[in-house]
Formats: sequence, C-alpha cells, structure tokens
Amino acid sequence: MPEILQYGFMQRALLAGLMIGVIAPSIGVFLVLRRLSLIADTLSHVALAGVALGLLAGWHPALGALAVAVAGAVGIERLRVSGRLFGEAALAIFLSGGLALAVVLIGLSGGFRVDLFAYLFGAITAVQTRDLWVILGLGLGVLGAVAAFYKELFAITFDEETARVQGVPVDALNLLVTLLVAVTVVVAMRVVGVLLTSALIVVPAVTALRLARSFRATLAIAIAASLLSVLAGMTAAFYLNLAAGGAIVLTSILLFAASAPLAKT
Amino acid sequence: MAALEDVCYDVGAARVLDRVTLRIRAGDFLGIIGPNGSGKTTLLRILLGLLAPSSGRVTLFGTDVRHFHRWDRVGYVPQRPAVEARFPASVSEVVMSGCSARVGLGRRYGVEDHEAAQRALDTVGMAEFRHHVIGRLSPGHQQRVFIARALVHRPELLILDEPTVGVDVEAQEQFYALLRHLNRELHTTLVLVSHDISVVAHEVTQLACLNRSLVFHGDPDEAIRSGALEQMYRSASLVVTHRH
Repeated sequence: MPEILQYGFMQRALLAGLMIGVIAPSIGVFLVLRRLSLIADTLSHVALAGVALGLLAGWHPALGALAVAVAGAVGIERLRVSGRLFGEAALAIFLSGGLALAVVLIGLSGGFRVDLFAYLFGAITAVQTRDLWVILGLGLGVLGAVAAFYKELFAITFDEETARVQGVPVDALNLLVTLLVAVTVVVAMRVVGVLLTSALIVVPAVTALRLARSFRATLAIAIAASLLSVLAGMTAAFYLNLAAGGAIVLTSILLFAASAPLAKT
Repeated sequence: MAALEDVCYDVGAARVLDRVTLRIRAGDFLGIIGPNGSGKTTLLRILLGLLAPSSGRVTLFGTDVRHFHRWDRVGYVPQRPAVEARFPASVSEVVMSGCSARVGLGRRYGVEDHEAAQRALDTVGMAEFRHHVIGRLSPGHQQRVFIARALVHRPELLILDEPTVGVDVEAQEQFYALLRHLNRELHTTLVLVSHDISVVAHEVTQLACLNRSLVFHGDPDEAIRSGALEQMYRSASLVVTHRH
C-alpha cells in the first residue's frame, strides 16, 4: 500500500476530497455558463462569517457556516431576482458584507485561532470521521439534486425564458442551485479552505468548456479534471509538505492552462 | 384556442398595450405585425404568461393563463440572437430540452422522448446535424433547431417571435415553407410575430396589425384593401401583395 494511504487522516481526506471533486464542478458548470461564477466566491465569504459565528458561539463551525451560507443564498437569490440592483451588485454586497461580518466576529472571539486558519485555508489532517460522514451525506444530497433536476437545469441554463414557457419552475430551481452552492462551499471548506472552494467550483468547469462538444461531456470532463486536481494536489501536499487546498487549486489551474492547445476550434 | 380580452399593459405611466382583444382559432396561421415599439413582443409574453397584464383576461385552451399547466400543448420559438459559439450543447440536447413539459419535473427522458426528438429534427430537416454543437450552426440552422425543440412534444399551438431575424433570404424561404407544412399538413396553429410585413402578409391566413391597440384583425387581403397597413405605418409608399 502506498505510504499516502497508510494514514487514517489521509484516507479520510482523500475520500472527502473525491466527494468534493465530484460535486464542486457538477454545480460549477451551471454557474459558469450562466455567468454566475461570483456566487461561489460570495458564498465562501458568507460561510466564513458562519465559521466565525460557530467558533464564537461554541457550535461546530461547519454548522454555523451551513446556517449562514444558506441564509446568504436565500438573500442573494431574492435580491437578484427582484431586479432592484444592477447586474452582480447584489453579489458584491453579500461578498463584502460576509467578510466584514466575519472580521467583526473573529475580533469578538479573540482573534485568529488555529481552528480558524484550518477553515480559511483547509487542513487535510482536520477531517475527522464525523466530518467525513457529514461531507459524504451533504455531497450525496447535492449530487442527487443535480441528477434529479438535470434536464430542468440544462433547460434553464440554455434558455431561461423558454424553460419558463415549458412550465419549468425557474425561480425555485435557481434558488435550489444557489443553496447547493452554499452546501458545496461548506462541504469543501474542510479540505481546500473556505477561500479556495470557489476555485474548485469554477476552474474545472472552465477547463471543460474549452474541450467539450456537448453538455454531458462538459460535466464529465469537469468532474474528471476536478478529481485529477484533488488527487494530484493531495499527493503533492502529502509528499512535499504543501498546503493541500493551495496545491489542489494550483493543479486545477495548471490543467486549465494545459488544456489550451486542446481547445475545440 | 387562445384569447386576449380587453388586455391593457402599462409600464409606469406609459400604456404599452391598450384594450387589445384577439382570438386565435384552431388551424389559424396568424401573423402579428406592427412598427417597432408597437407592443408585439409584450403581447406574446402576456399570451405566454411571462408577463401579467395590467387589466384584462388571457386564456389558453379555455383556461386562464395564470392557472394553465398544459404547456406541452404550446410550443415557443423566442426572438434571440445567435447562440454563443462556446456554449457546449449539442443539437440533440437542445431539442430534447423541449420535452421538459411533457416528461415532468424530476423525471428522466425515456426512449419515446429520444424518438420524438429525432422526429422533430427530421421534420425541420436537421437530423444529420444532431451531434453538432448548436453554437457552430448558421443562424438559419439554429432557428430550425429551435423550431424542432418547440415541436418535439407536438404542440397544438406554436408561437414564434421574430424568428427570421439574422436569417438569410434563402433560409427564410425554406423556413416559411416549413411553417406552411406545419400549418397545412400537420394542422398546427401558428402565431408569428414579425416586423417583415411584405413576407408575413404573403404567408399567413389571418393578420393582426398592432400599434399599442389592435388596428386590424382579419384576412390579409382585406388589411391591404382597407388601408389598415398604410394607416398603421403612415407610409403611402408601402406596397404589399398577398397570394396563397
């Protein structure tokens, strides 16, 4: 057995990483094609406020992150749909508001602690067995939702107005996607860190868009690129003593760069 | 089949549609024409339930559009620019997405849906392109794919909003031949919004002239004879002939 698999913490981290590697691009493809990539980054910053709230209140930080990210997702979607703000202004408000709230709560809880750094930048040693079950459970929930509503999500992504005429509940499914992004951020933050989760949602999707000739192929390539990034990044992190989140995201960006010569013409 | 009764639509203090009453009967090929800003697209969006009228009533197949759920009976080809070439969707995937209304929320496509998509592509003469990326097709071919998407669940009413924008003349002729086939052979009721008066007046069996209110609704020849078109566009040089 390779050394990397001989440690319990690495086995848990790899399992968590593989789940994240599947769900992040599954949502990311829909976000990127609808020019809503910034939602992932916004909800990451909102989730950080939840982590800080959890640490301050003595809850499990992931629970705080999930509660605040879900509330943020609902708020973002309501403000976006209302059309009262220009373009992505709603996202900008939530992104800066989330970060500001996080900074205030971190200050109240006595400043930066080791726990907080683990959530900010990820820590493969931090994935406990209980975390793994939560990650697997939430991840399967995200995958199940994407699989169940795949045809409606495609219809909305391609042509929202026609999807409405076909009776697709567009507003409800848009809210669902934003909620799934919130859950994905919370699932991914333990391994890649809350500040880098949006990269894992967006970058493999962008790589796949360069190569694929159908929507199904886009999803498949995005998931493959993401899994490769997770495995290569975690292996590099283990043997070279690097930060796992950074190594995964840098690998993902390298794959994006390497895909340029293969881009469809 | 579809009706607007005394429909008004206001944006702030501006009245976009004023007391429009229009009935669409089964088998009609209705052309809706009017100058820019006359409310044509707004009227279609109200008919499809995408916009709520300020006052008046809209029905589809006898049901108030607010409570209408049988969207598989209606096909819609929206006005839209050419699809972004980078969008990674095959022709087949786009046409299949038209089955959403029939298949139902959260259910997967079945064999019969794949067969229906193939039939729709055959009808519009695009079967050989089914594996092509939609964004790489010409505007004329893209428009045929969008019609196939609208036809895939065999709607009784097909609504098209400025479908020939950006389509070259030759492709337009093929496109209107396809619409004639749908109307005469397959008995699909058609509603076509266009700014192209001369072409539309040749093709349709019923003409509605809209300029915020309904100026005329009836036989296209009568619209020409009565001077309704001239009055609407306030242009004495407009020459339109009609032939079936």
